[in-house]
Amino acid sequence: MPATTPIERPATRSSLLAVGAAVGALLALGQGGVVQGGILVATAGVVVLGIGFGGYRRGYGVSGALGGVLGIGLWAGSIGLVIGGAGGMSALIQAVPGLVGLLIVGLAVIPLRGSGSRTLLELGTGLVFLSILATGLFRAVGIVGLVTATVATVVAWDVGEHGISIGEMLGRQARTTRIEATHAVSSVAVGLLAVGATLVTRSVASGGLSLAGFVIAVLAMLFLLAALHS
Amino acid sequence: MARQTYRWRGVLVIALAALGIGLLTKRPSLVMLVGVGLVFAGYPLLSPRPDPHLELDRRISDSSPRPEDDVVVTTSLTNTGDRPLFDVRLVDGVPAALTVTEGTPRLGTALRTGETTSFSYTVGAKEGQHAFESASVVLRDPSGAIEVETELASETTFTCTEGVREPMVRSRTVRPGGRFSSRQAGSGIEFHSTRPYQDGDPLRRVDWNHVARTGELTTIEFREERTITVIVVVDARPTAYRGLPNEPHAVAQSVAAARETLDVLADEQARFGVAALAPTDCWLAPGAGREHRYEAQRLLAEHAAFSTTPPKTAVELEDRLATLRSRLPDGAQILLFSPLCDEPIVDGARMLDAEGYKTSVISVDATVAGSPGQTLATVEREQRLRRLRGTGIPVTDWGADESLATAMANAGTR
Repeated sequence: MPATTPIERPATRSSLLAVGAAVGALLALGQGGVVQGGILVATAGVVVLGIGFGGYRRGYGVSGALGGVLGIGLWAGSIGLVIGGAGGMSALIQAVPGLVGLLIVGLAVIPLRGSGSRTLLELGTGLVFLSILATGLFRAVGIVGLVTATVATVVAWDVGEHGISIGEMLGRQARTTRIEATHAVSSVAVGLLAVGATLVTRSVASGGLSLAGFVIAVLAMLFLLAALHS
Repeated sequence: MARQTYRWRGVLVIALAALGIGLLTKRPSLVMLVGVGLVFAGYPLLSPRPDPHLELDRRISDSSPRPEDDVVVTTSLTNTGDRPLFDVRLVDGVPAALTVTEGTPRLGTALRTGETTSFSYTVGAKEGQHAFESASVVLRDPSGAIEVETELASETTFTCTEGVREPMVRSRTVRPGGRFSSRQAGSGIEFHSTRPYQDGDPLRRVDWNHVARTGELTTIEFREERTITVIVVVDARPTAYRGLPNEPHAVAQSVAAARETLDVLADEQARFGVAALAPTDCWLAPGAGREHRYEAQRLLAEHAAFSTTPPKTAVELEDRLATLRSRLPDGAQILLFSPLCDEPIVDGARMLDAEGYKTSVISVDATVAGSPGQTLATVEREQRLRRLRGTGIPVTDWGADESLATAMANAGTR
């Protein structure tokens, strides 16, 4: 009698949502048209790469390998597109880390190997956040765009890590719709709350509180939270 | 058992980094990003802690399947607490010896207060008695920061058996009808053999046809119908609790085999008794009849001597054998179920046989080829089998991957 062995890979829906959120983060930064195009091409590349991996694992060796190569090719193409068309070093620093981060997030949840990689996921979302920081540094981007992008990055990491954790404990054959949905909804809700709260603090801050005073208040809250944590 | 997962630490660190960079570069917008970090740092603190009030119910489709049958297991989980559970992960306790052939014994779900969810999977039945273990459950709060592990027990067992041929009972000839008859010739009613006429043989037992043909006087021997008495002895000493990694251990298999054998003995109208070589004394004096069969089966199923967990106290085999000998009726035969994992049991069997209690052994093979130590154990066991057979004690060597019926069929050819 054949025994079913659990497929311990990250949960599919959460993985897709994680990649989607990372893409959303990059798009929310509102960079130039070329960069936006590059982001979309890179997304297509990651998706094709994922399909290629999936096909390879199910036994379609040749098609799977072709899909993988095509995916990497598309992604590399997006990098080339950005380098060629973006113009200027600062634009590159804003765009490239995000694109690399997107690929790494994809590799973390496809997964590249084993039951997914939390390290790769953290690295990928970290690189996306680097893009956000760079954009905040080099361009006068509205606070809404930055905050939305940051929230989307955190959601991408949270949902992706949850998917990996479920994959490790339960495997892909188990019914996990509810558990993934509950967590995703919860994370997105907190994310929206974060966006709202930050916008509220913006109006408070611009209403007269000096930067230094604001920073001290924030630091105090951070230390309080850190103390509560441990 | 609750523990922190610390999964939000990274976000806190990044938030601080953003704050630092924002301050360094004097960008208020970057400093604002700290707000995001604050909210997500507060998320795990405000998440309701999971409260493990759960109930598990397990149903199986067939509690006495045959080997290779599919048994469908349906497990239901209920949230009996007064708070919803947002992240419930369940892995059912499939018995180690069984494999899942369809579906999966794992589930991830969220449960409102009082809600029940259920799922099914299929396992393949294997010979022996199988008890499901506790299901493992991991609960998490919505943010994933706190993890609570717990176990849910639900008593579920099933016994898988297959019909067994007549057990090897010494000095018997089994007729197609199946009644045991002793080989000893006597003056019963059925023709058995002839021998030369001896003074004193009754004339009515002379084979006159033979006299007419050859002129020699021969006497007909008739087969004597005698009831045999068999004592089923199970080796349940601590040393006998050996087994292959994913199989029931030798004592469990021996008990299962003994139960099958008892049924056959009862059907063949032999008198049977039960004994155990174990720390706890177990003895059922030989008898016959339906009540007696139920009593014997009940003993094998429930008595502490045959428990599935190995006993902690060692057994002085000499004592047990002495007690057994004192109880054995004359002429009783012994059917010993033992994995033959050590020498004393071999000596014990030979002694009993030599004292007139004809012994047969059914030995489940709990050895496996692997490390040098394991190979040595296999070789030693083979030697024990040979020694027993050398003294005329029939031994049925029963491998882990064959059914008892096959093993007994093959035993006749060895």
